[in-house]
Amino acid sequence: MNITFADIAIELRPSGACYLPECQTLVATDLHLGKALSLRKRGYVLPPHETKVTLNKLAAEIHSLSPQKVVLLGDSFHDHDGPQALELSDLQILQQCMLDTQCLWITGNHDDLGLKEAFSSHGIGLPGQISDQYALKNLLMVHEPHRKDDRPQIVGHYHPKATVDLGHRKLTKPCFLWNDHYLILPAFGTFTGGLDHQHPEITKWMGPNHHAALIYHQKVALV
Amino acid sequence: MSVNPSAHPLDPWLESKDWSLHPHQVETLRAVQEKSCLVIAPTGGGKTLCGFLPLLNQIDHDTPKPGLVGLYISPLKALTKDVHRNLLDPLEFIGSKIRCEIRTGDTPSHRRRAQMKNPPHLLMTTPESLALMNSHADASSLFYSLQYVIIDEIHALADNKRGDLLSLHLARLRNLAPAHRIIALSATVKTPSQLQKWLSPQDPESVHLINAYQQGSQETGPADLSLHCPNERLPWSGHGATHAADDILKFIRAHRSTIVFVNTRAQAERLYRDLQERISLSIKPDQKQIRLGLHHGSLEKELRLAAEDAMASGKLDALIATSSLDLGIDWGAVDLVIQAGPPKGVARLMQRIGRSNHQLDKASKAIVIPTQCMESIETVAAIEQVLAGKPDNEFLRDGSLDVLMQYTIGRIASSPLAADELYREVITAGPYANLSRDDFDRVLEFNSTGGYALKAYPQFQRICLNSQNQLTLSDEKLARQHRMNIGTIVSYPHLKVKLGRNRGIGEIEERFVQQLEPGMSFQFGGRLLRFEGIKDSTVQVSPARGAANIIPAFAGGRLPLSSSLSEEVRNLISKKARWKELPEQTRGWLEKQAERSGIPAPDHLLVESFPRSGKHFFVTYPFAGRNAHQTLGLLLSRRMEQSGLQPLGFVANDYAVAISSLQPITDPAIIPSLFDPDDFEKEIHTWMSSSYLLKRTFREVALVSGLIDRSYPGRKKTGRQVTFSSDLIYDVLHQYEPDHILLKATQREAERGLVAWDRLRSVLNEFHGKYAFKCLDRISPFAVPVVMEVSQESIDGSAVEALLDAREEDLLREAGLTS
Repeated sequence: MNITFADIAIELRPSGACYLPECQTLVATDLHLGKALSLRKRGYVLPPHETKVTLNKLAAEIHSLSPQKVVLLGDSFHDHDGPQALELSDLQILQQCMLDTQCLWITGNHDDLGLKEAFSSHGIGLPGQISDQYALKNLLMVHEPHRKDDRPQIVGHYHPKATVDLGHRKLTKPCFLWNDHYLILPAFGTFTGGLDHQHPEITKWMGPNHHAALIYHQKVALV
Repeated sequence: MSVNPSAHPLDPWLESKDWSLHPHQVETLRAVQEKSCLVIAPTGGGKTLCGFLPLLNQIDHDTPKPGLVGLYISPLKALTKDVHRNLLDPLEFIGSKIRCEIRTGDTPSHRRRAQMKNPPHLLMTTPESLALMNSHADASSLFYSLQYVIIDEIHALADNKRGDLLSLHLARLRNLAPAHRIIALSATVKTPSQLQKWLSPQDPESVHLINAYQQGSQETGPADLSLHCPNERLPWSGHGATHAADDILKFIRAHRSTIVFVNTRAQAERLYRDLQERISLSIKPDQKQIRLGLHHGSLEKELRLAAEDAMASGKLDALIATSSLDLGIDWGAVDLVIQAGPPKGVARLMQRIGRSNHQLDKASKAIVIPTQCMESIETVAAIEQVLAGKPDNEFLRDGSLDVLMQYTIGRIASSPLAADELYREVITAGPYANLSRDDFDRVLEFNSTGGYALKAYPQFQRICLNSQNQLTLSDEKLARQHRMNIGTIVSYPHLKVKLGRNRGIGEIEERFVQQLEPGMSFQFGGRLLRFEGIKDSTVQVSPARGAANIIPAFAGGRLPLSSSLSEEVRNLISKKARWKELPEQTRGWLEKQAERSGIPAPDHLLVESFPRSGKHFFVTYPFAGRNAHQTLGLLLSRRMEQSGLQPLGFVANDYAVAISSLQPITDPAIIPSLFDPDDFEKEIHTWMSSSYLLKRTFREVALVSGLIDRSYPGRKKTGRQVTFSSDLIYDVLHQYEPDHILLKATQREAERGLVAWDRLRSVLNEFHGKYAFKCLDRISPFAVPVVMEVSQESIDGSAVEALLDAREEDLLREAGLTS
């Protein structure tokens, strides 16, 4: 589905990422890599494959779009140990898919320390660069909305979901949200919960009236 | 220890009541000296007392030695209280000094600690509380002196996961106190040897069977059981008993004390409302005011207890109840049981009938009132089976693996032991007698690391080996986490309902609450309530006036029709000569069906297609029970999706399945391919695994096995609690670890539960090539009940996409974005 946000054409992808064709930039947020492993420390034995599922989905997007730049909008790892804990085979998926593209890791509340360490001198070989935000044209891309910045912003953090009544059933799915000022992306990661798009935490930025497009299989539909 | 049945310590008490021991009680006293006993006797026939007689005979009532002697296990907390109260009476009468206490989830923690330190002589508990006791290190010092384990209403446990859990803990007790004897008490069952095997799989003969029914006990005359059809028109659809409300009131007036059983909590609320309305409209000065009570599992415990007490003390004339009253509590005064709605199983109907006339040497009296035509056929069949004394309950099941996963964590938390030793212990539990060593090892592996092929992070093992090669928990926190999650009953999230600031009146499902807007009113607990909002995870309500049309929906409570009953139903329908056994209205309904569509021959499957309210319906009638029909609905709608018929959803009940679609089925040639059993067999395992039925079952397996935590809405999360979408985990496991033990456990649970594949397969094969297809211009009489069912399952597919497109189109047009 294609929208115009801040005078820029943006494609909302069924994967949960968005693509800016003019700048050949792919944006995805809240991958929460290593979430299951992180929970092992607390005694839970959840299947640890979700990192692979998420990375393969990302690789598939890069393969089909060949972007010049990939912006990961924060909380790419579930916790600060995430980058160090990344399986070698998973790191290889990342390195492989970023060969012909620049990757920019924006820090989020879950992973800023871990990312900084991963890009320090004893790094683990994550491809790309790290930053706390990224400005593109008149846009700001950042993990959580910046109240003091007037520029239109593409953000993550909230994992928005929407429920639509189809008459014979209700459908609850991750969704994209936008108004004139903010575009909130759904979580790209596999094991991620969600927040209803009318939750006060979201409406405090978006107000109750905003556009929402939910993801249903290979479809992004305005609701 | 000597037994002289003619000189029991309770004799003075029995004499004071003018009672004497029943033959089955005497036999139990004698037989239990040699071996464990299974006593099959009617409720109220002195069955429960029978369990305690040996212990009371043997113990020194004046100066009892310290230590636990007897453990009484009941499926219901309420029953432990009732039995405790009933036992105190004779103990006080004979001046016994033995201590007899209750321990359930309601027992305060300081009492529980005191019980561990200084155990009573007799402890009354539930399977879940036993599991908790057994997960502590002091289990062995608590149970070593045990001599008797009394299991009440074992028939209500042995056919389900709670029974699996209990069987494992019984195996543990056998090791802790090898000399103890079990006295298991059961209502009538089809095959008692199955229960003997459940109790002692390696040597069923070691359990002595005592059948009070065969001893010709006086208290069990044939039941006075009849079907009643109100003069009002018997509805074609629905499950409500509104049409029978006047007649039910008449019956209540004519009896001293009545229990009215219905099948679901929503039906209980509705019938309560209907009866109350009639009572308030029809008060005449000369007529006695009828006092009604309501009892179901979602009501606050205090309210249920108050209703039970009011009933017991004669303050109520009738109690409307669900299966929450199926078991236990003895009310001698109840002289009539009404079953409103179809009984669904023969054993269940027998159990419910048995709730009347307990203590009198008189037959139980019961009336069954069908709520629709199709169900009246089932009712006729069930009554015939009850009168012929043919219960239909089965107790042969392989224990669930998720329960074993839960059990082993608690077992290891209690005391370290070698894996071999644990395996030997587990296979002495009836349901696990056939457990392979390989499955056992995979269960242990799951508990330790998750058992994933991807060996990430070995340092996070939950189970490790100590210096003696014994299994131990790596962290004491895991034991606490385990105790939070004990139990096998998994429900959807509920919210507490509070009237005013602090008066809890029960709980309703979160899904129902989501449909409410502040100011809307709904009926719950027999009263009309106004929804004020949600505060601190509780539903705030205030009293309301007027008529409530909304009654919360509660999941569950609908048991599928038993196979022997469904066979009888098919038989009754297809043989016109037998129609005379049916109520007149049902006969008329069958004749209408014959005229408008057709009555299937016994070896043919009726298939209908017709348009209705803008959609097309495709309905078929295998009479194979709700679960098998759900699976059939999935299979058929998948095939319809492939054929471009755009299915929207389907509804299944015990008799039929109806699929709605955007495109019609008109060509009879397509029918055989839709039902082709060979292709089903090939397809089922590949695509079934991605269906919601498996996901729904997986959720239960994930919660019981401890993969994810139970969530307790209304209780603050501890911060440690992890709640997860089990669907997402399922998808990942299914993709990367298709052979994982949790998926094996899920498959097994699903096949005997929600999927009912065996039952469906036999139906498909039986009718293969014998389809009676009717292409109709309107709905048929047979189709009315199923099409009117509310709980529809939706299909994920092209129809949803088509609807989303249409919706988007509307929005865009509204916004003036398209022409």
